[in-house]
Amino acid sequence: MSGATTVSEYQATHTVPGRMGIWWFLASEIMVFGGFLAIYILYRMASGGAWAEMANHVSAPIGTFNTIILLTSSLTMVKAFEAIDNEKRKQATNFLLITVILGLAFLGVKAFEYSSEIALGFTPLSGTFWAFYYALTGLHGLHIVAGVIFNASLLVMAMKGTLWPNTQHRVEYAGLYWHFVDIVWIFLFPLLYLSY
Amino acid sequence: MTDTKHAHPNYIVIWAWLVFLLAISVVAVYLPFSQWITVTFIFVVAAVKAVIVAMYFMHLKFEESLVRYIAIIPVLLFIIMTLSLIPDTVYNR
Repeated sequence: MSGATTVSEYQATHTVPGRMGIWWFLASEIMVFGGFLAIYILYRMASGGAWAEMANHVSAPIGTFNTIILLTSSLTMVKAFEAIDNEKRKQATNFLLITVILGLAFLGVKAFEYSSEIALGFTPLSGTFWAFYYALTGLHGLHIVAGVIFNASLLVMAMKGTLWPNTQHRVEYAGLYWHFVDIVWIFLFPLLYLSY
Repeated sequence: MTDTKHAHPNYIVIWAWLVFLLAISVVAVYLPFSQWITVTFIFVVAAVKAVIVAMYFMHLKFEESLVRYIAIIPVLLFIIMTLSLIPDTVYNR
């Protein structure tokens, strides 16, 4: 152990700066979504149940289906990270691919949901509930788009083989972000789909 | 690379728990309990799911305490902010 500390020795004993940076970023994201969710919760409490009629029109089965998609994509993302740790490159690439596909599937289902709601006349201007619904799911959807881009760029690097040997830890960082977006949905789902 | 390895629990079991918790929160809506009990239940379940994702998928369980503080403090701020504003909703009814 005399002399300079190697990267792997450092990483074994410290939280690496990249990971710390992602956590700081996620802390700020908690406040972004937190402020939004707080306003929604308070408005809804103040409405005294008047929103129930509006909230009845969102589809709980579709929301449940999309929740399963997102939970499963979190599983495949963390499995990609596990594969990276175990030096299984092919497996990591496959799990990244499935994660990207599931992210796109979530967006596809959400797009179908939006279009069927708009077809029924429920737009962001149809009432306070719908304004919150589109704003909250829209902001979350943009985060999914960002996550899909992040994951897809890592997938391309993995397929080309350029992810290794120096940048494979980015899969962990992308995963932290992806799981955070999953957690946001874990709260959005009951707030928007179940509490009518 | 071996000394940089992280602890990896059985993620499939954790995923199965998450789907199970999702299922019981969806079913709870159709059970004949009062709205307050149902709403409280589904949000407790959501909080449990969030903690499971943070602890195992995001490895918070295995992180050093500084990272845990970075994650927990904004959540506490969110809870304090929401609770402290609840009395205000009474005047907006």
